[in-house]
Amino acid sequence: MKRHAHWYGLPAVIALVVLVAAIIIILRFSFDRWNAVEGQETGWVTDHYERLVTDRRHRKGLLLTLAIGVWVTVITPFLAYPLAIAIAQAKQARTRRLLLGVTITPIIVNLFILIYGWIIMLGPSGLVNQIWLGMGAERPIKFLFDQSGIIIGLVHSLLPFMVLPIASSLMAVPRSIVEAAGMLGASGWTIFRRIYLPLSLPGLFAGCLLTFTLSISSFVVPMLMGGGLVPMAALLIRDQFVLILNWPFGSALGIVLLVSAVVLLVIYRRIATASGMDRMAY
Amino acid sequence: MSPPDTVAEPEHSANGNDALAAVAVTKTFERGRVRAVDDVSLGMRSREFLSILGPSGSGKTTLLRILAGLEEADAGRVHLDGRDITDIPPHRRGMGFVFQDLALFPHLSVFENVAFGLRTAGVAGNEIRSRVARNLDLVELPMADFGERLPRQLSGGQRQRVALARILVMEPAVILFDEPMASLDRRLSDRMIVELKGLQRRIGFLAVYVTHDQEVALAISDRIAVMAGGKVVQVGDPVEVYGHPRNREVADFLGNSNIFSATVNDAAGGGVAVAARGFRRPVVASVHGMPSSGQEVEICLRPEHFVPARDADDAAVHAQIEEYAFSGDAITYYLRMDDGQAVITKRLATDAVEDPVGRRLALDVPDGVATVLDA
Repeated sequence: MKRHAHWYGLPAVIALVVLVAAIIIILRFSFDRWNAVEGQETGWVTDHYERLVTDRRHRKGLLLTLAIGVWVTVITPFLAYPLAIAIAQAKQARTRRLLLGVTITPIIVNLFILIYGWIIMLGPSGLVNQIWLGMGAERPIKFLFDQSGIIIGLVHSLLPFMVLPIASSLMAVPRSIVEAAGMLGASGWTIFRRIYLPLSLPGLFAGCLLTFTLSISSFVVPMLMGGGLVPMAALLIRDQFVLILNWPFGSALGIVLLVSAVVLLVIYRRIATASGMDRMAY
Repeated sequence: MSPPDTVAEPEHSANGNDALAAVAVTKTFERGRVRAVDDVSLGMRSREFLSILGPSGSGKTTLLRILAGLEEADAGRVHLDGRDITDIPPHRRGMGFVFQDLALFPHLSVFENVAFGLRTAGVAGNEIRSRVARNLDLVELPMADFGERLPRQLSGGQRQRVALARILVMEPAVILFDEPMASLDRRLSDRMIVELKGLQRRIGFLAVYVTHDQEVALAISDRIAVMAGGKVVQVGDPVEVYGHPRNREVADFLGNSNIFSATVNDAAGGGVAVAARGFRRPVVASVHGMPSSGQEVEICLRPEHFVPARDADDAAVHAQIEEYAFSGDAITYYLRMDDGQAVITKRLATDAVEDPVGRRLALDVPDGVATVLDA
């Protein structure tokens, strides 16, 4: 067994090499010259980065992407915790399997189908707005072609990535600890606040990491929900690469998105480490 | 304590004087296929130390959890100080529960673990401080040294103390223990148990201690309730339960025993004279029920019940030593009676016989030490 141990890391090494190579290529592209007539030319110019400062549409698009990522990351735990707690508390294996199955439906169901379902629900004459108007509202809420629709779609499609790590943290909490808290008079809310929440912080940490990175790189949800009208980063980058064929600018967009995401994650990690939430309490 | 000639009917079922009582409690699992607790009635007196002793799967933990309200019984009631508390939730029963894994909150300091119940009860901050300090002192974990530590920074014995302090600080009249010492090594658990017994005596709570360890139960208990197959088989003080097991299960579970088939001759001196197979003369056995003359029964004799006979001709048993085992303070002899039955006896090491294997022994059985087992 031991002789082969050094092969176990091979897939990771391949993935890393491909990833690093791609980033290097993109980084190199981002400094190339480009004009609409002659296209891309090898060079060392910072035009494309400068353009991000002056070009309001693209700058706002990047900021919007990060903002949507934060929103999705903040909203998802509120929906994830009840589900994760239900999974962790399930007394019977069957109940737990059922709940886990429900949890991963957004992954099993094709993303297009999931989002079209939401589009039908959220449209101006969709179910949600019918109820809203039925309650006496004057105008339907605009979900589609708007950030709110994108956030709803992302929250739903990324929910499993929040629920599963939290649930796995919670399942590691012995039932006796919850019973002990209950015998000492803790109410459901106290048990959540003083037992479940602190003991699931490592799961929450992992879930937030996944949700945020998947949100800011999302493509299908903003494309369908936003109808291409909400300029999220992946769409902007796609436009440069596919429609305008300005690869250097598209590359610069990608690099800036990557760097800002990494900066945010490093700050997040700092806070998390300082508060000990990335470590198990055991 | 001198062995009683007849084993009195123990205070088994619940009555009005009990602090805590299970009344005809039944609990089944897996849709009734497994009867974990089978129509159990058990009364527990205030300030006593009662062990529930039984092998794993005997239902002892389930019974304890029903007393605590952590498990719901299918049938039967639980009474506390004469009140029916069956439908009262666990935290309003005023009982403490020490879990098998202790269930300390791993992310909270020793101080916060002990303060947890006081905080949920809304006790004021400075009172919390003084009560936690007092109770940590009680379990010999001074707050100055241990208050800020996390459970993972404590030894196994220290964790036990924290778990106990967390309960004691709530000042419950009843504390239920689900084998919390099982994970400690023998020597440490012996010490912890002696300490626990001292605390219990000093503070005066009712302790109900579930264990599968007969040595622990015999050492610590005022009374022992022996459980087997979901039923309470016998309740009594340790000397009585050990010396006069009610039936074969209890006899086998608590230490070594010699079981002989015997015929009842007649009542004699409060017990009954029985003629045991292979014995050279009848012995007087204590008895729980009222066996009739001529009835076939089984009697139980503990290894230390056999004593050297003063007069070999009048000895109850003649046997030959086949093997022996020295255990420091005592020696166990494995004997073969003349009719081929195996017998285990035990003597203090100071009474050792030199080069014992092959020696013939003449043994006697004092009146009343043998017990007629229930069929």
